[in-house]
Amino acid sequence: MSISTFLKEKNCQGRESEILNFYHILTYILVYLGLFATSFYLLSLFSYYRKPRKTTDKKFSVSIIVPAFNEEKTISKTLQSLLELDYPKDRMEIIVVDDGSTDSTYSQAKRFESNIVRVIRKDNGGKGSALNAGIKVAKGELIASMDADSFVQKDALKKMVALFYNDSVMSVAPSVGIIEPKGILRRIQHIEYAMGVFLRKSFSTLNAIHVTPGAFSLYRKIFFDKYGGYDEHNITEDLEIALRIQSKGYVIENAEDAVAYTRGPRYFRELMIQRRRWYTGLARNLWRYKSLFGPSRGPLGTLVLPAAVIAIVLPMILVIYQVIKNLDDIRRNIILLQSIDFRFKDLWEYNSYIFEQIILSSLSYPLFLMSLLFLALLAGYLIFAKRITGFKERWQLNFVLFFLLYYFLFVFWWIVSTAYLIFNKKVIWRKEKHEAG
Amino acid sequence: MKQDNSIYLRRYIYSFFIATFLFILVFAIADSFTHISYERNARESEVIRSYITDLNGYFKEQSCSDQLIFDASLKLDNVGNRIDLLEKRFGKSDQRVVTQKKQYAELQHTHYLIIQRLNKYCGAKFITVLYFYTQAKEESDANEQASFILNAFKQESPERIMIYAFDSSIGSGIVGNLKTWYNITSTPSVLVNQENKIDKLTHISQLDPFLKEVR
Repeated sequence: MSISTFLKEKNCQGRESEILNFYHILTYILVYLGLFATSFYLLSLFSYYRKPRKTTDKKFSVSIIVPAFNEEKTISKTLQSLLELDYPKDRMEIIVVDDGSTDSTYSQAKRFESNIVRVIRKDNGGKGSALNAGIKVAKGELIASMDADSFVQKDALKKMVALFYNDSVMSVAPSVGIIEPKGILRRIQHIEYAMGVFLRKSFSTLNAIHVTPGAFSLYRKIFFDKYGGYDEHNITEDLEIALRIQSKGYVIENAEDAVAYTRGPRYFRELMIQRRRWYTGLARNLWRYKSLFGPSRGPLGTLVLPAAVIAIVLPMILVIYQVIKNLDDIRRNIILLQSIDFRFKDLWEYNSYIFEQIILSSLSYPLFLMSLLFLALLAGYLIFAKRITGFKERWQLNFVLFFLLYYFLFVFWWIVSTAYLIFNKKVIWRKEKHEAG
Repeated sequence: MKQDNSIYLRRYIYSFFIATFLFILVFAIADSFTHISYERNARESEVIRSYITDLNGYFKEQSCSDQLIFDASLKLDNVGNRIDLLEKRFGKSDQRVVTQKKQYAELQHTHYLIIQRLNKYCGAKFITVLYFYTQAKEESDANEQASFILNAFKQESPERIMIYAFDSSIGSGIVGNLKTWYNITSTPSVLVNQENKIDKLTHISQLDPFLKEVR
């Protein structure tokens, strides 16, 4: 380290101090809101677990609808897992709706046909229309929707049905995990879903669940009879139905110990298409159900939904700023390196200084300590998820990958989705499923 | 169905207190670490003072041994690093930082005098670079570039090139005297080997002619 490096560092800091203040203020706002929301969720969870759990012993009749479009690789496993469910077989039926598949999905599903399993075929119309076709012929008091690339734990249905303890409970969502979380993107999704276990349970204690997972969710049939089926033009029908249930003032429960597993996209492009659909769907549906914002809707309107919006907007601003700043730093460094004819002899010395600086000063920076605090909270969420659901996967590496990469991916997906929204580009459900194969 | 927020009111209040407590706690912990760092630096100041005494003694002995001066150079750099960290934590106008920078200027000045003596009486071939700057915002780009170039220049022969950076805005008597002595009227300004003044250092090639002396 030489004296001039000392100068250089100092001067850089001085030049950017005003922008950094803006950056820091936004970050502190985000951190404070994060702490506030997390405290609220934790208090709600503690309060929930202190009281006896409300359940019913009634064995409702259940119709499980499996919409399928070109799912020949997974449909057999999905049906097998449903047939193995620990639930009275005379109280359940499985309806596979082949939504105009062009592969062998229909014939594969047909092999399972019995007094429990029915297979119907229709022209391609999207997931919502396939679910509606199933609801139309369903006989059960409860309707379960299940993705054809997912499977459930044996006792999941039993645990979920037990939560329809009164007439206001209109839906029950399970916990969702990722099948075989291998590869960087699936590992990141594994942590994201595990975090979702904690959040969904917290939201359920506040009646603030706003998404019922497409992988496996239960609804009272009476709701569809009264308020219509799935919105067939909606690209995130599972989100829309949950918001509709909330808007009608009903309750969505969560059986955190009932686990459904889904197959997370493996490749970046697949994941991008999925997230683009989810996020444009989320934005459109939140706008459609904007009446859910506000004090009249309890914690859903005053905290959960506003916090979700803030947790999208602020990181977007911060990450965009950070990326622009980094690009500007690269540009400036190139100019500086030009002024020394790219004599890289200096670089090692510079890096050793940075290392020393990190060791000596990190703990003095509030933002670094706040990152540690959130890391600890995240670890707490994961321990909760592991304990409740019995997830077997090791999560240490996934945790590190998530912490390092998630927010950049999250913001990237949101930027793309926002562009789609602004330019009013069409996002469809089928394309993603088809490509995700 | 409307929900009654009042049943959650107590929870909102508790959450507010917990979040506020944690938020303040984080700042308090960060501040504690900052204080520990400052204390550490303050102790280091004592070492700096004793080093000034050693260097003065060395200066008086008129020794031609290189070893002590190499050690001193290393210590000088470390002190510079520490002050840099302090400045980042407390800000450039913080009195503690200004005090340490004044001591640092004093130490650099002593070191500079010894190097001059070694050059003059022991036939050493140290290149000395005095770099004068201020904290003025309009100078920041020029400062950044000059610092970067000087840093790279130093790496050409770290043991033979001695760079001394002086902040003219801290009100140090030593810095003022040096500026008067060498007729430095504007900043940033670079003075190589006492007599070669470069007012606008924009490329390392402007310093290349001096490298011949150490090669």
